[in-house]
Amino acid sequence: MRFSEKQVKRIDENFHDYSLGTHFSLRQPIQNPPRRLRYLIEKFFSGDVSGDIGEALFAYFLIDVMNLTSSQIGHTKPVKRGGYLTTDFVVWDNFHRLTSVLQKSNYGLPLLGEVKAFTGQIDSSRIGHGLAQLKMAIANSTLIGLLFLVVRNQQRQGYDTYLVKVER
Amino acid sequence: MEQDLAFLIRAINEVKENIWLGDYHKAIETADANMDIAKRFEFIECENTSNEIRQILRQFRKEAKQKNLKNRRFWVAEKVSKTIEERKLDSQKNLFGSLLIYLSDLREAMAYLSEIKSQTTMERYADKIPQEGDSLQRTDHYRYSIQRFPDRWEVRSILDMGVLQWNLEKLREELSDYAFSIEEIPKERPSRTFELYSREMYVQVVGQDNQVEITIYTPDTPDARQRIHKIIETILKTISQ
Repeated sequence: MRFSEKQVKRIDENFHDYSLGTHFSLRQPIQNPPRRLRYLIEKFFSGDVSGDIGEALFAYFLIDVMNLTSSQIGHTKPVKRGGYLTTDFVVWDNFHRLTSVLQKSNYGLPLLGEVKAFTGQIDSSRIGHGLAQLKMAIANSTLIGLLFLVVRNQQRQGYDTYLVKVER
Repeated sequence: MEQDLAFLIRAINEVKENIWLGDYHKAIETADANMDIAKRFEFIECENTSNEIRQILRQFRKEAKQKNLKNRRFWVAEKVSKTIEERKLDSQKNLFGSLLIYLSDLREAMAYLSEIKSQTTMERYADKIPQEGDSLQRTDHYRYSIQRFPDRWEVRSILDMGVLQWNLEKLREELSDYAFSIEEIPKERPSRTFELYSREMYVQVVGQDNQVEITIYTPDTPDARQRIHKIIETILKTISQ
């Protein structure tokens, strides 16, 4: 899909290429995009595919480890890119499956998820950016933010993940 | 407000699933139905809140750029949070409004794609080129679309039921004429994968929740299309029972 924000699909198959840092070239569509939308080829791209891996790992963590369903997870990064104040994900944990992780049994919904991934050195300023985004999105509410950090491990054979709870 | 957000997240995911399938008509239908439900709530107020916060964000970002501040993002975050508090703007309403705007943007994109697709179809008919693949099929229990690539066929499908209930024994029985060897790939994941091998064909079926993707490799013989359709129908019919 030309309009999809990220091609997380088939990340397993392309994992090797992603890890090597291969950049795929995109085809330029002939037609103009619809109002308020841009083609993927024109969109902001940091040049670092680790964002895809980070977001996929966050989804895996929620579905596979915490037993949430995919319909409870909203990927809101496209709205964020549109200038609206949201986070990368909004998570509808209505069965409070994250109780053990948050060490809290009663929390407001949705949970706000921000993902930062690093294939090289950890960049502390990017962690700060994630916290700043959560601070704005939480603002004057009692909502809880989740900063999910993905760091390629020293053996370069996998990723270590960290979850930081952020609240007012 | 909390429950309202839940239905919007579900609606957006459902629209995206239909986009993945190529069923733009259904995507538009789902978006419209949920936009109608949203209208029952304070949706204009929510959209206004989102737009107001967007303006605030934009204004402070611009200001930070002009001032050439060192820690721009932190300065913006501080200013925006303070302004939201001062103006007593509701963060949940902002989220609800943003999701509504996202749903409406998706709906607009789908209407556009639907139009482009119908134009392409008309051009194809005009040139009398038979349509190859890229077709959407609907039955009572599943919907699927087929795309043909130079080396393979790809099928995307949405079932009424989840993939955890697949019955592989039944599939073996149904496909016994094709002499397939069928094997499930054990994975420590919520998805399920099985592979079918025969002398003339390799089929991989991957499913998660109610979404299924089938990839087929087979020699390009004159009857390939017909055989593939039959196998797809048998697989989907069996796993959706």
